[in-house]
Amino acid sequence: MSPTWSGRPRSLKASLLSAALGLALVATAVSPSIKPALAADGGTLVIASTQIPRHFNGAVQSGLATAMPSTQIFASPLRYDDNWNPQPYLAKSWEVSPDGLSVTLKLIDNALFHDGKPVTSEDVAFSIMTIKANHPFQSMLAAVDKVDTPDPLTAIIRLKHPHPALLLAMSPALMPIIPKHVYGDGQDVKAHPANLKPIGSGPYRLTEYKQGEFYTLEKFDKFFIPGRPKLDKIVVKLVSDSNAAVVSLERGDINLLPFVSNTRDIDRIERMANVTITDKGFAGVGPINWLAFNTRKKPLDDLRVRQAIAYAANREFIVSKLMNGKPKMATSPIAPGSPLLAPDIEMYKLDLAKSQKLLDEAGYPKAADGSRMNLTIDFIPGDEEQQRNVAEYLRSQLKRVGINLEVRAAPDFPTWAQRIANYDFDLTMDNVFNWGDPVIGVNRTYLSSNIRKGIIWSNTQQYSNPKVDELLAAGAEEKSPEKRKAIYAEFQKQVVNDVPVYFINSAPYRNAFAKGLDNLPTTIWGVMSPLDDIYWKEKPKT
Amino acid sequence: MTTIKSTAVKPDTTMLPARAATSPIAAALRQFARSPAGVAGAVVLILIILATLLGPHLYGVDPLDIAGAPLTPPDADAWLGTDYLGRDILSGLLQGGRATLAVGGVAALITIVIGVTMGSLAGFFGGPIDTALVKVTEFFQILPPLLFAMVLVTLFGQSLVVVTLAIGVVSWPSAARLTRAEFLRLRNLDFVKASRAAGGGNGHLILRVVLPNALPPIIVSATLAIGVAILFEGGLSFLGLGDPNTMSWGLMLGQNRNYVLDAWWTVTFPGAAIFIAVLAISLIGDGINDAINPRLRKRG
Repeated sequence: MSPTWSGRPRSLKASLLSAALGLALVATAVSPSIKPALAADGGTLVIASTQIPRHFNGAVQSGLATAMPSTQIFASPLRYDDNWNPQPYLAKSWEVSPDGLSVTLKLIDNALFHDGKPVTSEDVAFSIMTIKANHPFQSMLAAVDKVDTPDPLTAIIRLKHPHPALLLAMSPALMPIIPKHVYGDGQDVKAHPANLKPIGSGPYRLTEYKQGEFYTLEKFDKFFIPGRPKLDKIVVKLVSDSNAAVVSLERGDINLLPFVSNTRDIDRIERMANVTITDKGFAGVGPINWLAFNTRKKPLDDLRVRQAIAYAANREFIVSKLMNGKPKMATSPIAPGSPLLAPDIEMYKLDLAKSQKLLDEAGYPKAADGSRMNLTIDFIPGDEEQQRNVAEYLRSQLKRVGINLEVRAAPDFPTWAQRIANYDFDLTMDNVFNWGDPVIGVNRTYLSSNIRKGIIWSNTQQYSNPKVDELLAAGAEEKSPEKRKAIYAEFQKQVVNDVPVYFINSAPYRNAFAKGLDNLPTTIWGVMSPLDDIYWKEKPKT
Repeated sequence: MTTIKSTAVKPDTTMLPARAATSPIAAALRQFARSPAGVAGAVVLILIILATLLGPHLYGVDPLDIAGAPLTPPDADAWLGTDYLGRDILSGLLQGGRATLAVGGVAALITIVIGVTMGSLAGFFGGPIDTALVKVTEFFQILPPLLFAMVLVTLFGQSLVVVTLAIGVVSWPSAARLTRAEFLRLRNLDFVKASRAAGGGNGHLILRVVLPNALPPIIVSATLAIGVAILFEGGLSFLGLGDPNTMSWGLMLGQNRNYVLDAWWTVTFPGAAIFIAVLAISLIGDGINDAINPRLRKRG
């Protein structure tokens, strides 16, 4: 195949340069105060993040910390807009066969990796099979049988059964296309040295990384979309103290603070005159803060006890008072903001009388001292507002219906994860992400086949309902969007009724931007999607 | 031999300086009453203890219960306001004081028991026993106490019992060194020699002869240890290592520290409570020191 891509990007750069030069000449002639290089100088975006990546290869690592840089460095077949609509990216077109068993991707012809080699269907096939084998989200590509590559610009994904979640799985955060000529050298991809010196085809190249301190992304001048990225450079400072990051934002030392989730920080940033803060950009992640039950442990194996706790918990108070009304309420396993969210489902509005009645019926009458049972509650250490405070609040709240709740603090995350993954808990607070499609991030919590001891964020509730298993299996393969929506509505109704989990709120994530920035990343993936369109409308004074 | 010993011991002890006065405790109390700071400290501490013992019955609000909206400033309903969950601060202070003072007292007791045992054995016997015990003491002394306590609490769980034990275990070296120094000074004095010559065994010499004379500085140190233990509990809770199921002043301080800019009352009152209690205990310590210091006694 002849590389048709060779000449173009260079000529673009050359023309930009000459334009800038010309402008500079004119400008100096007219007025020396006008900054001449505006057209060519996209400027630098300084980001502070508390999310410290282990490495930059999103093909083998999930999580926000890796997703943000990985989506700048690697391009993916598709990207998404604000309304869950797929957009062309590396794939200029995509077609699902009528039987739903294959998806044909036509690639654009001018995409280059940062080392100058072209992106071909071989790389797409290699990436998909690598992700299927190594990515923690096993259900994401489990349906993929193989990827055919009839020519360098066509990839046909062959499926074992229809797999509608595949389109979302082709998002930047979930399917980075990694170069076969780098990662295909036989080394273990999870520990590949190139994970720290990545080569992708995205809008930015990683040029410097100081472990735990910062990383620098520079504009890739042969990026396949003309005129992008608009910025020259992104510097990501890795910080451990979110307070310090908020102060730097106010002082203008940083221009973007992603993943703000503390409601007092949000309040503070909302009052800053030089900053725009938005809750858009997290619909894809779909983070839900919830209370989980160990459904095989007495007395929580009794549905009535779990329902009684749900009726006593008072989600409205938690969201409006404890969290200042910043998050949205979560009522079902599907996060708010998803098109699959079912409308009318049981809300478990506060009803202490009903709660008491259910506990009586379940055979736990009040003892002389007013108590019915003793339970413990765990929480993820570190996030006080979303986790610890809710646990402490529930202790007071459940006491009203005669449940003595002991708060068990864990000194660190592994201790908590160990307890939960080995079913050594009664109740626990937890925070789990939807990741766009139920098959990717929801099924794992409810499928009885995913009760896997020792693995955190599997079905640690040990919840098992054959009807739910059936619905999830059907939803995973249903091609018609309407029917699929109906199936998941049924699923949500069933799970909410069975209360393996009491859903509380969608974590109040926000992104905060300096005012001079425009075209903010407000798509469903936010900053976990290429930042190639954001630009400085008005540069900050330095 | 045995008969001589038993008859010889009794007159011997009455000859000891500390027991020579007819009622040394009454004398010390008289002396203590002359120290205004010490009396003030004692009065304040007694008031605090009474408040924590009787207060919860009189005020009648459960400190772990949600009493109102979160972070409401002090008003007629909640006299000292509510914390980040809407729990009553005043009731937290009253109830939490029990845990705080209990931790302080018990941890100080542990400190003194371990410290005095180690110090007296080392100081009395000297030689290889002294060397070995001093090494052990030094081993504990070189570990930064707060870090060491944090490790212990992390390992054994965040409960009030563990926190108390941890504070005691990390604080005893100074008491041990103090006791050892006193024993080294006293063990060769004439009355100890006399007692030994009269046939007193080691146990008798340590417990009945040397220790009573070494007690004054130890009592002062024990008093101060209570204050230090209270501060320690506050520090551990501040770092998030307190017992979340038992209200204490340190826990209130630690859990509310994030809200200090929005709600001053959530941290000011527990902070002031710790400050006043520790100050009162220090003043008492000073008062006792004055009371049992022979030089000051002569002056008075």
